[in-house]
Amino acid sequence: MTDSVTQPQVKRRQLLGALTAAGATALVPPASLSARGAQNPNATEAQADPTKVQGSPVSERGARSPFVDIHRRPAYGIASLTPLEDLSGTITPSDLHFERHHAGIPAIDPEQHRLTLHGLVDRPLAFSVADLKRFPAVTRTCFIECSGNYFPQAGDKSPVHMVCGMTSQSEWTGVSLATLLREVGLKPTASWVLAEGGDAAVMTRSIPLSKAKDDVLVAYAQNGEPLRPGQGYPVRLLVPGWEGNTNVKWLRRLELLDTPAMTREETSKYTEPMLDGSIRQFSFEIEARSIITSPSHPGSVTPGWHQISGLAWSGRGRIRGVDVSVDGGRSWQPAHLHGPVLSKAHTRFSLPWQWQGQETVLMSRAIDESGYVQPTLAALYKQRGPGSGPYHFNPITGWRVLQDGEVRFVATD
Amino acid sequence: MIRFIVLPMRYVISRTENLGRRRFSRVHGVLALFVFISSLDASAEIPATWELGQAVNADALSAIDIDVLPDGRGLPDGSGTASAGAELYAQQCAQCHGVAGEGGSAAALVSQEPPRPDLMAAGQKIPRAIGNYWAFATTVFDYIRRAMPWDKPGSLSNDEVYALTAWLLAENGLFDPAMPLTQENLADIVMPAQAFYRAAGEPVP
Repeated sequence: MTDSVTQPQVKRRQLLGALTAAGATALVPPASLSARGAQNPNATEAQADPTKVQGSPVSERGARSPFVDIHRRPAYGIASLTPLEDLSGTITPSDLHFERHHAGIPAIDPEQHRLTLHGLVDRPLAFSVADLKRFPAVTRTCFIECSGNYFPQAGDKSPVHMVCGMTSQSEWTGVSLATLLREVGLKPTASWVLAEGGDAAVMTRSIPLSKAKDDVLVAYAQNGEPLRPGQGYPVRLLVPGWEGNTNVKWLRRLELLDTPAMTREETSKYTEPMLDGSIRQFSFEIEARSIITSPSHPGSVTPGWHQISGLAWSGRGRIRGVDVSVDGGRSWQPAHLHGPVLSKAHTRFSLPWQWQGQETVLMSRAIDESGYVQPTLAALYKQRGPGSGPYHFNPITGWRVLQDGEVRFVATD
Repeated sequence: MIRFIVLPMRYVISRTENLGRRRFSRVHGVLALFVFISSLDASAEIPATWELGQAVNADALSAIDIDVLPDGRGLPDGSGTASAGAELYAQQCAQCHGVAGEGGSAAALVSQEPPRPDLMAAGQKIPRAIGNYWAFATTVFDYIRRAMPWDKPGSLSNDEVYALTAWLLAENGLFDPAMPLTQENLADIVMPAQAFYRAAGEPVP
């Protein structure tokens, strides 16, 4: 066994297996693993018996185990996808939060950055980041999902991150936008807020005042630390439950208007041509959706017990339930929801499942507290046409379990 | 404010009742006063203003207030012609958007076809160009000025943005190429797709 582990081509998974096997002695990780470990102040080479040698010392920063290799998948040249299939629970580690930006990530000096509120207000004001932190803070956990989040372009070999890797969840902290609006005072004609980013796209979206006064945050922290640059450092808009594009990053300006600004991102993009000949605009809310993250491609199963596990979420509120089918949609049973079930938040669901070796399809279907039921692909196509998508495209999807235990993506009817 | 006073007073009264028939002593009076004063502090209602942030003057605003609204508000002084725009387009835009705006590594910009959202939904590969999909001419100006060209965003003068917008609108059959485009006439251009837009209501499905 020792010999096999020292082979350079050994896979990490094999190494893990070797580590857990009884009698493993004097394990030396392969060269690549040692190099990774060297960057990790907490990691050492795996010990045959860790109880007989002192562990690594104190350090300034923790790091993942060298045996854990989870990373985002850059895709299409414009997005970094979250590996939902590699995660548990509901929080996305900050460095794995998906990113979509329109002109790259700007480098902003937080000392120089200002957020200016103006337009139909009584007192136009510019706030520094330090100012924003002196307002009453609000913390909430919610997902952000890009509205274009369905690209299973590898067909039946599409992993979860390809199907919907542009949704992630964090705990966000900031000041309620309502607090800032009160500070500047609104003119009676104010009805929309134009949010503008300080990136090279100077990206803009219009948000109705009703939403702005409801639950929108100007966020400066994510999972307890300052925002990551890719998430809008030093401040971003957080618009719970609404399509990711409205959550404007690197937020520099909020202008109160009496009209939507009809920006490029709310006319030529992020709109949906419909079969009835109309173009659907301001389709802000993320519709309820779910996906089984395990088992999933490229994983496999062996006969016996497994925990089907997945995520469900809705921009309209709490997930009321998730039904899971283990027989290709012929029958459905309610999955267990892992509490607390938060509004506009990823919710983990699971269902024990005993595989007996026959080919089948696993599917999940989310229902939110508004009563909205995640639609089938056929229903989406019927309503919106075969040319619809990728915006607001949330079909029930499945995983086909082949007889040999291989798992393949299937866009179910 | 009231509830913050009432609650502590209730607390004092209940404490007093718990003491049975003993009369409301000086100690209780002090306690009541203390709780009352504490309640004033704890109830510190949200102030009229947090007194944070800096007033913004018009100069500072004009440097960042670059949006153009669909009715033309926000359009700067200046003008440009399609012929000037054609030259700029060839130099700074064509390499990504195609020589005639047909699209390339970046989006198609030119189409003289009528808007057909129904056919797009039905799956026909129809580019969402300015002439058949964009809802407002002002958006063209706004977007070029804030974000284009890709390798030098925000580098164009207002006249250059007017010129490029004039060329693009003319190529889409929406503007007379002989006319200069200005803040007076840009917002008057009615885009063919505008009538097809409707705000989302209930989810479909």
